[in-house]
This record gives sequence, structure tokens and C-alpha cells, in this order.
Amino acid sequence: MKASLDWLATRVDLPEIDKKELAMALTMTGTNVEEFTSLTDNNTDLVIGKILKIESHPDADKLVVTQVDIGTEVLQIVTGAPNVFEGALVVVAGPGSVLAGNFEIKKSQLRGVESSGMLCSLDELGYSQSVLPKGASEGVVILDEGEVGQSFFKYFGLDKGTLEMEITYNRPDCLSIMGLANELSTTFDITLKDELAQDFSDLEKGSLSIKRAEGCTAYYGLELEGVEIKPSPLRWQLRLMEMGVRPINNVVDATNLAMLYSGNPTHAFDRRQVEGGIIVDSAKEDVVFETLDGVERKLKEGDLLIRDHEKIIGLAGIMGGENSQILADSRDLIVEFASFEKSSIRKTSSRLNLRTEASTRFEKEIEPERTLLAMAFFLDFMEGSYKSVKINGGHDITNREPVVLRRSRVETLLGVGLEMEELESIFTRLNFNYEVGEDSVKVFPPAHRSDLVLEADLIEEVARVYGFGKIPSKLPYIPEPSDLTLRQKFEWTVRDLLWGLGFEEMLNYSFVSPRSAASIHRDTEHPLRLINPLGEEFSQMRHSLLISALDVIQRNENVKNEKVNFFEIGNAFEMRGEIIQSQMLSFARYGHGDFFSLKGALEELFESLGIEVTYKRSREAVYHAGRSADVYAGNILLGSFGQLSPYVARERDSKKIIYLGEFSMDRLYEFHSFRILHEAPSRFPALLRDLALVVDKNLTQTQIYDRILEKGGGLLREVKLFDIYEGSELGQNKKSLAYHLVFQSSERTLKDTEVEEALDGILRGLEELGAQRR
Amino acid sequence: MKEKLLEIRGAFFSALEEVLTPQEVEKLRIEYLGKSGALREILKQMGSLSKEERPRMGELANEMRDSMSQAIADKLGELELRLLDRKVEEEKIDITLPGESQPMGRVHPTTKTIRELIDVFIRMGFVLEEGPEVESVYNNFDALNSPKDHPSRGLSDTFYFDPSTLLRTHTSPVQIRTMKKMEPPIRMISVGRCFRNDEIDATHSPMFYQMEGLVVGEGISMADLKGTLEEFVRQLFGEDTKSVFRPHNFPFTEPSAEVDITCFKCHGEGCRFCGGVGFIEILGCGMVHPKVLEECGIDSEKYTGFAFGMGLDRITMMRYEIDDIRYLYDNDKRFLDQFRR
Repeated sequence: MKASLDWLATRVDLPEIDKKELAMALTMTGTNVEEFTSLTDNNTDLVIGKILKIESHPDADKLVVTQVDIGTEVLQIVTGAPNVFEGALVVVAGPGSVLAGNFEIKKSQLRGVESSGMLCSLDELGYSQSVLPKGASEGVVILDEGEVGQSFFKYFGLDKGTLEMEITYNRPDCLSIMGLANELSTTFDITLKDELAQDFSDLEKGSLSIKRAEGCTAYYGLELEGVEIKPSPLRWQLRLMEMGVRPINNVVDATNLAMLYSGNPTHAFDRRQVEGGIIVDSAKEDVVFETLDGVERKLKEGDLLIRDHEKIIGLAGIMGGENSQILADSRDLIVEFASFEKSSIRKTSSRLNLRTEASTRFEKEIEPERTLLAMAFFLDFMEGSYKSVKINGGHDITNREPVVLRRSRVETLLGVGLEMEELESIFTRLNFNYEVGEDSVKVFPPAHRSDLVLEADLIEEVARVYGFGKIPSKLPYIPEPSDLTLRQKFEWTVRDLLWGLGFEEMLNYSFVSPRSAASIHRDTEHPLRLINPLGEEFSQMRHSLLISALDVIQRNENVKNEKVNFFEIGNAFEMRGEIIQSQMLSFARYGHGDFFSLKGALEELFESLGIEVTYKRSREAVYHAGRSADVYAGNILLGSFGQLSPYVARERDSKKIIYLGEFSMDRLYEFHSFRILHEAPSRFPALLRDLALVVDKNLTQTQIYDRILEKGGGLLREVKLFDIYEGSELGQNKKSLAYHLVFQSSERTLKDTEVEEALDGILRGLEELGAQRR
Repeated sequence: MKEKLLEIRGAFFSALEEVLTPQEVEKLRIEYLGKSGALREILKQMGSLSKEERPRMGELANEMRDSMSQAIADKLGELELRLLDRKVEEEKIDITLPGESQPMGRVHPTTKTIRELIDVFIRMGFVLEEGPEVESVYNNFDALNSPKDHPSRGLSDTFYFDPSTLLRTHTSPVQIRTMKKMEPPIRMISVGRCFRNDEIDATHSPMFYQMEGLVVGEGISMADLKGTLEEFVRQLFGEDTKSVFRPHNFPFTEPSAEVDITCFKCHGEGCRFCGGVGFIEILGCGMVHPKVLEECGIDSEKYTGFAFGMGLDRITMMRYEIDDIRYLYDNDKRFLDQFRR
């Protein structure tokens, strides 16, 4: 919310403090000042001057030479502005002035004629284009009032500046000068000046029929006749511009100013276009309606509408209709001062995605009585600009329940005890009515404070006025030491181990594109999709971390990163009757070794976690069928890993050989063990034997290895594969495997014969598998 | 004969002086001390000596053999050392060549922040509670006293699966879950992913991380809230960092506040990083709204509490001076590589 301090100053006498202090004080009582700007930030002071004489320029058709009285002297200024005339009051930037954009004015020669300064247009003062009135850049600004020699900014009340404030959800009343003046009064403990009188009993009653349906809490229709549509006084145009609104004409400006002042939006209809009376009710069916911005809106049954007896003329609380808007030749008007229930306005405005100054105010609560303040401002502003006015309509009455605040409760919640007098003075500063009870205060919230319902709401008021900074600090008593759970620690341990193994951690969005998700087939009821995703690529919850991993790989490939080695710990989502969220661990790498180097890293991980695993060929379609494994602890699947399926790689247009894997963190946790029981190293020498075998190609290493272990007897301490060989001399479909065998006893030195005996046993067992010693 | 022996010795030692390789030393040994070497040849003539002279000559010859053998051993030792000298010289390498890479991994910067924050709060006696990313509208909004028509509930702010299921927009639902399962006193934090329907740009991401804290007990006041968060700020950002509590509004706390801390870069003077104001907003907090306590079955007359929440991406970005949130979720190796342990 933008607010002109000069306008606010008409309601309260501002303290004489600098801008920064004022902004800080407001912020510390709850109105966060985000910016504090002023026209005087970018412009040096400019003076009001009067054009005494205009002569044509001897050498230029489009220039004229003016003599301008600025009080202290008469300046000769050459200008190209087409709208100057003798006697006109203008804004003068004399030599030495600096205008917005760091534009310095110097004495100069314009086509041989001396010019001591510049006559300014509004455009040159640094206003944003969006608030400049039509034609503002086509000529200099001609003042409709002023005093020669006076400061332009001061005279028009532009020198104090504009506050840009963050208004919180609970304080919609502060979306107005009325509400902000209240806040200033509270913050600086200064009395509010008298508000505009809101007594309309003198106004002639009109005969316009007004029907209010549910959802419309106030509706006044002022019938104005004989209105002359013209520009607003410059003073008010400048005020609107400060507030961030473009001046249009006196009627539109009056409705905008009334809204900015009171916080209650208003709207003016051309009387000629309104047939019969006004009916506020909900649409009975879907209908198309053209709003005054020229857009056809599809309205739905239930949208709150303003109609006359023939047609729709407005979308209640959001925007008026094209068919009834004010035109340059409008003379008779119906001006609406209405209030609506917030939920209806919010619903329609958000469905149409149409947010206006009116809808942003109406979608928060405005009490119906506020229409009176808007109406008072409007009539005050328009005074003298119309021939007659009649009032029609009425409003509901707001009934705010009193709220009791116990002094003891203040101490409980704020940790600081306040005396009754302090509480009273705070509520006085807040301009609340209250009654003092025994160690308590009964507060009667003002109509515009819909947020004050509970005792806690009053405590917040007390706290912010008392000052958060004055509340003491202490540390709550810590009853017992705390720690992470074992499961929580496990996650950090896994992360540490992977860090040690050289993996880099990635964090990916929990949602992915359905297209990417399709790469990973899983047995699930149906994909878990958002109904309002940010876009297709963020629309489906990932059922596997591998989906994200593949996307990350692709991005890294695209930026030509040579090799990556990633892991992620995160959640995967599945639909199984209900939504199941499971914590998973994923890996993805390329440019880094092969299947066995990833397996080696995983073996190291499992060993460190104390998990005994077995490997089986994996059937997961995401992997290369011949180069992937399922990993089991006992008969429980922990996860899988392997090379990315060449079919998937082809679909994804990936040139790299990618290795990846995914494991369930819960299962890893279930089977992990950090318990270690040591075994003393043997003091007796070991006997080593190498065993080279020729076996069928189809036989797996594990089958041979397990057989050696099984038949090796108690003295066989270690079996280690050291060579694999395939060659035609071995015979068709044969391969050779060579093992180091280590025999050792922890009690004595072994004899050769014992080892030979064990070796014979092993060989006999291997022969059953068809293995031959080489 | 003595002259001859001395002559041989003289010739041997002068020859040994000239020798450069172990092979030449061996040649010299054979020449003088070998089976048919010079010394043996001379000693063959011992028979022609007188009885008196024989033992003296024998003694001299033995002495000579010993000293010559010793000289040969010494020479060999010396030559070996010289060979090592040469080897050392030859084996010189350019020690400025790069080392062989044995990379450690990297931890994501957000994870680093999470770990530090958890540590700080665990030390202060908090426990870590967890909750799901897919939440109910009840836990995410209703139970937190969010008004039915609050804009944050809209489709343009919150991701929905159906009218009652959504992606949590903050970690606060974990407060609800905790209060429903535990009796006061409660002292918990929660960390996790949150989601809001924001277009992606340098400061917005549809997914981000939050940390949430909740303390409920008898006599918990705003003074406890201030003390706890000031301590947290000191621990995370340093002793000289100041916190300012500024009134704000959240549906689930009353009173509510936002906390600004002195800019860690300019320490309050105002710089590009803090937009010239000297302070940076880092968290929202307040006293738990009595309706929230009651909704969770906690007597709000007997118990009071405070809660706080902060965006971890923002804190991470501040700490590493990251100016674009997208880096945190792009997972580009060139970015991640920078975050050593």
C-alpha cells in the first residue's frame, strides 16, 4: 500500500522526526515500511512562476521566448511547449536545478537566444509512466492555482513523500488513509483530527429502487444530476499520482480518491444506461459479461452481480460494466457505495483471475459502515460540481462483541508485567473504547477492526504498542538433554559414508514430468499427480529417485561435465490405497569406472553399515538386463543397481554409459548393525595356495566361491578371486577363474599335508560343478 | 721378496684409486687377490725363503691381503653410494605436477545448513520430529487457524492433489502432528521440503526447505521466544549479530513477529547484500494461537507456547552469497563441487 504522507498529515499532526526514524517507528508497531520515496529525492526544489510575456523566437518556428516571474526575479526561458500562454502559472526549474534522472539545468543559448532555465512537464519530474495523466508529456504543466515564488512541492503538498507499506492480512483497514492515520496516531501517540461528518440526513431521498440480496451488506446509490466531467483540480491529480493511481477525470478520480481515503471501493454508472433500479444478487446461470476494460468475462452461477431491471451492469466489488461506464458526455450519474461479503468476491475474482483495487479490498473484510465515509469523502470532493444529489439505499449494522483482557494473561504471554495504567494508556493510544474492570480491561473494538475477537488479539495489540524490543529475553528451562533418534542419526551416517566414498549430494524436486517418470516402470496403482502443477514438468510426484537422477544426468551431460558421481536421500511417493512416502537413497554416475566400481563402492557402504548382502540378477526395466543386480539382505530386497538400460538411454538420447541405483533407507536401517566383535589375528604362519580352474561359462563366480568355502574346512581363512580369463584354448563356452586361498590356524603352525588334504576336498567339490584344475 | 710384495701393494692401491665401477673393482680383486692373482704368485716363491724370513713374509703377506680386501670393500661401498647419488639425481620429478585425484564427496549446501541448525537446536534441548510432504488440508491449514478464505489456500498458491490433500506449504503441520501425539511440555523442531505455487526465478522455487520449531509448556512466554531465537542467531551467525523482533501477522500465532538480523556482511551499516538497510529478515515466529492449541487438545489456559519457522534456502544463500536459488536444485556438478565438507 502506497500512502502520501502529506495526505496522512491532514488527519494527524506528524511528529518532527526524520524519514528513517518515522519509517522505523511504524515498522516496529506493525506497519512494515518497505520504501520511503519523495519527489524531492530526485528533484531539487522547483518554484512556481507566472508567464508575463510570450514572444516568438527569431530563429525557430517551434520555440517561443517567455518572461517568467519567479518572485525574486524574472527569467527569460525559451520553451517548445505548445500549451503556454501569458498569465499561466508554471513550474520553473531555474539554472542550477537538477531534475529526475540527474538532469541538470544550466543557463544556455537556444538557437542564439539566452534561456535561463526550463518550464517543467509532469513527465520530467520522475513520475512513473503508469500514473501520468493523458497528455502529460505533450506540454508543460499549467497550474490551476499557486503563488509566484513559492516552492512547487510545498505548495501542492508533495514534499513529505510517499510510504510504501506491507499491510498484513489481519489489517485490511490499513489499505486506506483512514486506517493508516489511525496507525500513525497510535505509533506516535498523537490525537486524530476530526473525521469527515457522516450524516446524510439532509440529503434528499431518491426514488431509485435498490434490492440487496444476501452477500451485499451495504448499498447506497447517489443520484447526481448535472455533473460536468472535467479534469480534477491539479492538487488532487498530484495526490492520486503519489498514491500510484492515474488521474482520469473528476468523477473517476473522486471514486478512486474516496476508495483510497476510506478503503471502501466505489463505482460510478452513467444514469442513462441504468434502466429502473439497482438489484444486487447472484447470477442464476452462466453468462458472458463485458467489463469496462473491454474483456468478455465468463460468469458462473453464484457470482455476485449488479444489475438494473434489464441487464447486468457490474461485477459486484470487482469491476463495472462496459455498458454503463462514465463517458466524456455523461451528465447524470449513479454512484455506488456498497459493501460485499469477502468470500464471494474472492471466489469470483480468483476464478476470473481478475484482481482490481476494488477486489483486493473487498476480498478482505470491510464493515458496511465504511460506505458512509467513502460517501462523505466523495460528496466533499465533488461539492459544487453537480446540480443535485439524491440518496438511496442503506446498510447493515456491524456488531462487534467486546473482548476482555486480563492483566495476568498479558504477563503470562509476554513475560512482562504491565500495570493497569499502562494497559489503559495503550488502549487510549489505539483509539479503542474500553471499560476498566478488576485487574482487567473490557475493550469495544472499533467497527473497522474485524481482527479483534479474542483476548490473544488484544495481547498482540498491547505487545506491539508496548514494543517488542522492551519485552525481556530469557532461555526456557531445559529439562533434559536431547539427541537425534537412531534412525535420524542413521541418515547422517549414510550421508557421511557416501561423502567418504566420493559421492556428491544432489537435491531434486519431489515432482517430475510424467514423461521422465515413464522411464522408470513400477507397479503402482496410478501416478500421483497435482491438479494445479506449475507446469507439466512438475506435475507428478516421483515414485523413484532415479527419475530425478536421470534428469540431473541429462543436465550435466548437456553442460559437458565430463564425469559425475551423485547420490540423493529423499522421498519417493506411491499410491497404494493411500499415499505412501518412503525415504530412498539413489546413485547416479557416468564417466566413472564400470558396474564393478559402483558395486565396489556399494560393498564398502554395506560393509560399513554392517549389512550382509547377496546379489541376484535384476529384472527392473530401467537397468541393462545383463548388467544389473538386486541386492538382498536375507530374502528382503534392499534395492537395485546397474547400468542404465540402453533402451532407456536411447529414449533419453543419452550418449554416456550411466550407472545408477536405488535403495530403501528404511530397509538399510532395518538390517544395519554398528556392532563389532573383534577377532584376534593369528600368530601362526599362513600357507598360501593358488587354484586356477576351468569351468563352464554359465557358472557364476559366486557358485564356485561358495563351493570353495563350503568344502574348504575350518583352516581355510580367505578365498580371493585374482584372475578371470576366457580364451579359445580353454574350449568352447569355458572360462578360467583363479583364486588365492589362504590357510591358517589360530592355534598352531599348519603342515603341508593338512593343506593338501583340504585342497583335495575343495577340488572334489568343484569337480561336481564340472570344474577342472588348470 | 719384501720389495716385491711392497711393489704389488703399491701397484694395487694406485690402481684402486683409478677404478670407477664395481666391475673394475672385481677385476682388480681377481688380478691381485684371485687364485692366480699377483699375491698368490709371489707367495708360491715362499719356499725359497729362509726359515727366519718365511714367517715374517707370511705375516706381511697376510696383512697385505687383509688391507687390500678391506680397501676393496670400502671402495665398493663408496661406489654404491655414488651410484645412489646418481640415481637420486636421475629420479628427480616435477613436484608441481598435479596429484592423483582421490576425491572425497560433497554435501549439498542446504544439507550443510540443515545439519548445523539441527545441531544448534539439539544442544538447546529440542527433538527432531518428522512429517510427510504430502499433507492434509486439515494439518496444513485448518488446524493452524488459517482462515477459510486466506489467499494462501488458493490454487495459485498451494499445490493440491484433491480438495483435501496437498503438498505442505510449510513445515507447520508437523507441529500439529506433534501436539496431537504428545502431551506438553513439547520442545521440537522439524526440517523439510515445502512447496508453493511460485514461478521459478532467482528468488523463487516451487520447492524449498523450511525449519520449524515449537515449544509448549506451562509459563512459556514471548520472553522465552526472544531468548531462544536470539541464542540461535548468535550460534549460527556469530556473537555480534543482533536480532530485531518486528510485529507481523500469521494465522497460527498471536502475537506474531518477524525477526531481522544485522546483515552478516556489513554488520548493520547497509550494503548491496541487505539492500542498504543493514538488516535481513530471516524468520517468522510468535506465540502459538490459542485456537491452534485447543484444536490439538491442549488446554490453552494452562499451557502456552511459541513457534518459529524459517526458510533454509534463504539462509543457505546468505551464507554462501548465492544470488540465484535455482543453483540449489540444478545439481550442476560445477556448483556442487564447491561445497567441501
